[in-house]
Amino acid sequence: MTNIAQLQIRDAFIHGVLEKAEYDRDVILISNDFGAPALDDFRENFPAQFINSGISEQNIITLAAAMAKENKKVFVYSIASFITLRCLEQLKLDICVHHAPVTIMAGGTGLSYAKDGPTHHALEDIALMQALSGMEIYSPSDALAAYNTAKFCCDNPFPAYIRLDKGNMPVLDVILPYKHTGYRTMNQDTELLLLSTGFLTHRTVEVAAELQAAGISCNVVDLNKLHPLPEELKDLLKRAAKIVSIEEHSLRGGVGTLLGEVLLDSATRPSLKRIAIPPEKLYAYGSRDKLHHDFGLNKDAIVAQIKEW
Amino acid sequence: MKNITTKYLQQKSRELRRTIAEMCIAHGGHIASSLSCIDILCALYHGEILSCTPENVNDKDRDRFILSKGHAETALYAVLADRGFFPPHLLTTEYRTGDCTLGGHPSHKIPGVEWSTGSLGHGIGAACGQALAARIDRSPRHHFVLVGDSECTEGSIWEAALFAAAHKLGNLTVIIDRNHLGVLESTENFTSLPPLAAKWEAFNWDVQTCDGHDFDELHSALTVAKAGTGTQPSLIIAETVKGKGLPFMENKAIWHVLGLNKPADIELTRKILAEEEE
Repeated sequence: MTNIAQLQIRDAFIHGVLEKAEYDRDVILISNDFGAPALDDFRENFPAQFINSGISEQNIITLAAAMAKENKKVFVYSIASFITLRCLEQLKLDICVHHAPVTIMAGGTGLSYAKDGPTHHALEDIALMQALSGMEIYSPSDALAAYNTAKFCCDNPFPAYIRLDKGNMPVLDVILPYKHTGYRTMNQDTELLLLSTGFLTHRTVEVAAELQAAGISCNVVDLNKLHPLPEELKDLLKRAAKIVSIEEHSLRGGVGTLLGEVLLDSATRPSLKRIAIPPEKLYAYGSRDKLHHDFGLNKDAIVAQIKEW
Repeated sequence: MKNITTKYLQQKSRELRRTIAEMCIAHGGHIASSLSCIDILCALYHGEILSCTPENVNDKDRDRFILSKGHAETALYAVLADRGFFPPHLLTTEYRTGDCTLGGHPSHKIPGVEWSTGSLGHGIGAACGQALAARIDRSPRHHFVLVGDSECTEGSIWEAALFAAAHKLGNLTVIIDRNHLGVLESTENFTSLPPLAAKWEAFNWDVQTCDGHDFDELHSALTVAKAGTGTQPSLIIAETVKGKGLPFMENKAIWHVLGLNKPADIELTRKILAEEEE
């Protein structure tokens, strides 16, 4: 029996797909020559349901869309920066125009591949995917969340883009369970909400602890479904006094922008502060820690920005 | 052709050319591109090649056709209406007008249209997905795609070509409408297509070349391709003339974008196509 909690986020998601594939021959996994331990298991156990289509992002998306329209449950596994930008038109025309329920497993999201440079950074993917009509965006922050999202996606009638970070992350048991895979909160406070997703949710929990130690009460909201934002979350936002978004994404078009759009259309206007990567600082090289320091995304910098606000 | 004669297809071709011309006179469209490929569509839909009819349009085992060069939608709509996929009066009331049920590029929401196209380079990849799904489902259906020769400058064409050969998609046939013209000029002026047949052969496709306006040659090539080798995708290079049937338009690149809207051009077009009938 696999201990899902101990898997990498990426492998936990693939494991969820694998379990579904065992009972459903229509589950198809397409990789663009990109690997993972759980992918090896999938390929070994279900060779007829695995396709390596090589390095060809445009063809993969068109191919996947057409298979989905032929009633296959298609999962595409690729690197986030490649499978969003190289084939943006295919995502729009072949997946979204055709309402083809393809699930895109985007590995190496955000700065997962920080040292590899801007070719491998995925810091505009939320902006791009939320612009596509009908495309859902999920961003699990731990292995269990990823596994549950995979199970959900097998029967999801909508196309979905899944941000899958690299590496192991502890299961976030300090936060209450997800509501319908949409979001979860640490407590019931609405005075100050700290909203984050994926990798940075873990840092946001540390930030919250430091703020609380300094006498600032707050609540952490871990977003799994980024787009469209869950209706219940919109109600929570409108009840809040102050909101801070914390994300490893360009300031333009990320979670902060999505939250801001909800508030713009709302009669009530809680204050919103967006902590993200300044667009002029994109395309940098460095380790994840170094880049977080440069971008103001390390714990101390985040705490300082919130206190100063 | 068991029940269909060459003469019948030639007659259909003339009828469809007149339909295309009247559609373009009324509402615009890429007339030269449509006249370039209408005989290929006629051979597929009227020549007992494509087993897709209004009666079996929802049958999963029907053959599939994708017009990858979606800007020739006038030709596709004309042949689909003629085959009864939708009422012919829509060619007048809905083509590029009003609700645009028959829009300026094909939508999969139109009966008989298998894939929405308009941006080039998508059709073969989509057919690869359909063909692979057919293999998994053990469906005997065949998949046809029509691409333009200029379209072959799209990188995605060659991504799909590599994929189809590697996955031995013998249930896939691509037809290239080889009219030798892009929007601005001769394809040979801006891209290196020749040797086109050798390129596709090198990609492990089974390649045939035929006259894209000769129904006997088209039927023979399409029949061979559909029967297939079992393990290789098929390619047919159909040598065509852009604007075929209207001598003042033939082989003139500018007619890719010109509208058939000057009274003298309209009169001449109608005269030529009426004389053809006689």
